[in-house]
Amino acid sequence: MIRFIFVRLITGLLVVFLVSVATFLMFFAAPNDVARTMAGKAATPETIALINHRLGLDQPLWHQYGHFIWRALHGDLGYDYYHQRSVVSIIKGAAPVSLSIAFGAAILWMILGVGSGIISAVRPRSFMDRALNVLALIFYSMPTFVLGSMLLFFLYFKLTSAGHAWFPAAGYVPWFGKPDPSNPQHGFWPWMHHLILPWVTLALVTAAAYTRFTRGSMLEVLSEDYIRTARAKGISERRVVFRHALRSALTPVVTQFGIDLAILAGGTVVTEQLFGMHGLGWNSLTAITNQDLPVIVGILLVVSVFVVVANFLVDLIYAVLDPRVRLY
Amino acid sequence: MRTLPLAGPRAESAQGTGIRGVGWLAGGVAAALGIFFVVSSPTLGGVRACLVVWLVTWCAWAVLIRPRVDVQDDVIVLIGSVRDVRIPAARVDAVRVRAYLELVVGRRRYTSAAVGFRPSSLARGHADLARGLVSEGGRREVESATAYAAEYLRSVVAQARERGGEAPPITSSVAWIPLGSLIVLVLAAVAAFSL
Repeated sequence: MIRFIFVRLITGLLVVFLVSVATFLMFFAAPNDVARTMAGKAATPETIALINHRLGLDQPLWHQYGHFIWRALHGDLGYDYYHQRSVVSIIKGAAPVSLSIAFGAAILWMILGVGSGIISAVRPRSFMDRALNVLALIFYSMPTFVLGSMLLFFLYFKLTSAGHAWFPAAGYVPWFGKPDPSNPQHGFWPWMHHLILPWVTLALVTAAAYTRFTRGSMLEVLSEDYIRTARAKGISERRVVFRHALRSALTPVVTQFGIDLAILAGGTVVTEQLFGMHGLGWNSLTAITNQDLPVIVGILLVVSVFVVVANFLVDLIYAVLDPRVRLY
Repeated sequence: MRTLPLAGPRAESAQGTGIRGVGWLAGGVAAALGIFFVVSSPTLGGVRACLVVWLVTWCAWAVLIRPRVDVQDDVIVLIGSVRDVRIPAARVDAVRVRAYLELVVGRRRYTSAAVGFRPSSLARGHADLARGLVSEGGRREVESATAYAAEYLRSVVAQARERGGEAPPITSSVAWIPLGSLIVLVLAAVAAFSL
């Protein structure tokens, strides 16, 4: 077990190293003139040289990379070029938004996707199975912005026009922390209330894939010998399905879940944009538009760490879910 | 995972290709970056930066690329990061392959990360093969080089035990090339940073 963890840890660190090199070379070493963009069209060469010096862009590449890694190891990812805000504070402000969207949607899509997958697998080729398959296909092929816009139109605009303001249009309300003076709302219920539409949007689009995963995996496991043995021993069908079959069937679902959750935690660009939430995705998009390199690199590094950690956790969860998987 | 013939017909070698891919990529990038740092800026700072990224290269090579399992004339050689162990196949009581290879000799266990299933593939049904309960072509046909390597090691052990005779003792030796290169790199880094 310790050897497994050690090798995975080294592999994870090397992956993060590769991501850091790739993002650094892509954004810092690529020929894009940030100083000229910041200085404006009428800038003199002296002004541009001064900005380059202040940003450290006139230093040798090893110095820039070394400085970047050294600061990153000390929890400092630099400052955003345009407003001189710390990248760590930008990530700290944006991460709760993205994590709130990702984790809430993940819970919802796991319940919807796995639940409907089990129903489909337990009664294959039934009306319910076919109906759930059709629904899954519809949502699977629907882009997030289409579904999100539809939900906003019907559940916010139409309902509010009819005098039922049940859902808010946009914005994020924090659960913890001090309330924003411009927006005094905060706490669990306002937080959840503002997140329902983004959660439903993401969950419906993603759950469709999980329905199909779970169905396929459950059908395979339900045809195993040990399931027949369990039924022959007189174990109730509910126990066979949930205790014996589902645990094994969930392993491919867990693989996909780890990857999806890590990527979503790194920012859901379309959903955040659609519902006016300033999460990691929204900040990434703004930073890319402005060529704000430290913000882009900082967010990319954080997302790569999310992905590495999620994959590692998924491998450990296998051992919990499936007693045949022992990592020693 | 891949298997390839070495010196003779009774020599086989196995290494995991998945993590080796990450190792080659990270090691190669770090090595190239080190050279680039020194060439683009031949100063003390450049040398320091080069030595630091070369330590990453060493790490990738020693932990992910070097580990290997060789079979040479009834002797299983577990090539590790900084230590190699030669185990006569006749002395092996059991071969287990799960997340990594485990050779059981009496009460001792010798392990190698070179051969092993990913947890996801263990969950997908290679577990029976890993435990040695089902042979390839048995109840469930599984196409896997790891399963092949596990079966091959079991057959080598079984044949060696059938032949009987006095098995030579298990020997272990320090791998001086990785250890020496690590010592040189660390000393050079200490010297470069104290200048």
